[in-house]
Amino acid sequence: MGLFDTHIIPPSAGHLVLLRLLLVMTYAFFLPYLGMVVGATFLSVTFNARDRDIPNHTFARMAKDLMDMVIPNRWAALILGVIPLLLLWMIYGEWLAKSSPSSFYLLPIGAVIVAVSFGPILSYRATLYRDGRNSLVNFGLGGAGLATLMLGSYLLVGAITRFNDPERWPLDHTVLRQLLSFNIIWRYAVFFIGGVAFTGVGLLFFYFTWSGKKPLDDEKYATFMRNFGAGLALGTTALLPVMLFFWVVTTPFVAISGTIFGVAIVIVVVLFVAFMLLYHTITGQRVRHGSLVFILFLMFFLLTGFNDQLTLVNATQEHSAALVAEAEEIKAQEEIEREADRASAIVVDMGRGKEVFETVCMTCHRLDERLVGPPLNTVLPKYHGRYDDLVAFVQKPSKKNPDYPPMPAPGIPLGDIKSVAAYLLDLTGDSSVPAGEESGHDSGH
Amino acid sequence: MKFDIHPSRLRDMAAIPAAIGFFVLFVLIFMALGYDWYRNKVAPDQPIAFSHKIHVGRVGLECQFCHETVSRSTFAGIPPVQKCMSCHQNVATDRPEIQKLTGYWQREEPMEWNRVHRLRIRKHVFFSHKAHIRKGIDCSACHGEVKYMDKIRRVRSLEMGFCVGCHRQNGAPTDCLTCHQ
Repeated sequence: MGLFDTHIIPPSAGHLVLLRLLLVMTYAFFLPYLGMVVGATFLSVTFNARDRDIPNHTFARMAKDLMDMVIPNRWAALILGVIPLLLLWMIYGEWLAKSSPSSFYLLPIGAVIVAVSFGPILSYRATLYRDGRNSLVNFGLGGAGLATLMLGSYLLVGAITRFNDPERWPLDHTVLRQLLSFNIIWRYAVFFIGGVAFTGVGLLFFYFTWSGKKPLDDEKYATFMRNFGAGLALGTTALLPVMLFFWVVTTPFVAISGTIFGVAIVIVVVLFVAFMLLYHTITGQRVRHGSLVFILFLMFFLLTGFNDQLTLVNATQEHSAALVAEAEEIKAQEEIEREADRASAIVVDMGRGKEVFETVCMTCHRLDERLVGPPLNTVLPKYHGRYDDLVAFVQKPSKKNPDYPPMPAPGIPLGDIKSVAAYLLDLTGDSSVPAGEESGHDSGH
Repeated sequence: MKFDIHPSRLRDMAAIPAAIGFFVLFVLIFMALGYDWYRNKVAPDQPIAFSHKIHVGRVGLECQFCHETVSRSTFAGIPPVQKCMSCHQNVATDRPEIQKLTGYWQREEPMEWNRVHRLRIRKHVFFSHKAHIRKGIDCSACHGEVKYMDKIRRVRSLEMGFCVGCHRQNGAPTDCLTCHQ
């Protein structure tokens, strides 16, 4: 966090809204892609292992087609799988600047592990094209890629989930405590099962609906792939509402808001429509509405990502408010400094001073009686000969007397403050006040 | 009467209602959770739109200025209308919410504030504001940074894990009788 704390100016309220938008947009393409990479690699390695035990042309081809689908080339892995990791690190770093979530360090570690996992995964994919493959090397690379990818993605999900539980930040001293909670497990389950479902949907879309891929020439193989893709997607889609339920009910209280339940209902409806379309693909023995199911699953990930950022926003409301307040404080300070620079041009006007006293100051003060604040004729003599100090106090008041509530900043221009200070000092018999001319005083800021 | 339905058709007939029932069940569950949220956990409306953001954040009032008994009693105490009027007889008298406040004062009617912070299993838990304030625990540890809140809301779970965690951090006793009496 130190890097962000040192180099980032506290974000304003508008800036935070932009960060939320950027987070949802990053999730919108990163979650489905990473989910599909996890699902496809898992299934490909499984098919490959089955092919190794009992050589089977269909399984070998499925292992290759799955990897072809999810990593058509290295650029896809880089743009969709690696660059968003950097974006996520920067977004969360800025959002959580000047706070201390104990799990923040896991985010870059998880991101690096995910990025590194693409190395063995790409090598595994390349080995599937070689003739006379060594199944041990093949399985080893695939397994290593899958294991590092799952570890990295779990660390990412774990770190991000822990951001939603600020109450636990000071208590999570060990990695195990940071990574083991029901909420993290269920959230990862939604991601993993969603990724496997999307892989099944991807097979139907990329090999049966989308015209960009070469159509499958082997009818028997095409039937196997269609039934496998639809069956896999159908079964896992039915699991998702259950996972979603456990994820929502284990989400910390501070991260919950009513909208999260509304979005969860929309997610269930989206899954229902996708389920029915997948069911008709199986019963009808042909891929129908492949694009629509694909889009529905993109919506599922978009809505899941939306709920994810919502939990972060809810859980860190106080922290964000503090950042915004700090940003406003800096802005106000700059304004005071700008006004001080213009101070030499300010004319002290006793008439204006009287007007400001009657319309602003008299809300709380009288000269000779206690109101909200103290009677001024007991306070002002302390400022005789200290015009600049009085101006500085009115500009930025601080609590002076425990018997009275603190005075708020009046929020009026420096010229008015100088005029009213001169007017009041003059009224209480201080002859040294600058009146009727350019003040030439510096307010002391 | 002759039944001539293919078995696969029967499967269809059973599967679709089952799927509908399954997904509708989860829609209903999330609706129930949402209803419970809005009914029991969302920040309640108050008789007047009092803003801690203005009074604590902008004016700079200390918590104890209004919650006078917090260091002397189990309860923090809610200020009487008279306390509000000590300033608002003069300050911001043209604002509708202040006029509403003045109405309560003129009618000599107490304001019925809605409770925001409530321990989950309050019957079995003893909590004293006095003990915590005297140990120097900042109000924001349980109530959050109210100086940023227009409408006050609960921002801590106030569950046992929260209390025990804080006790451990501050070296306070964690035996059962500390809180359960």
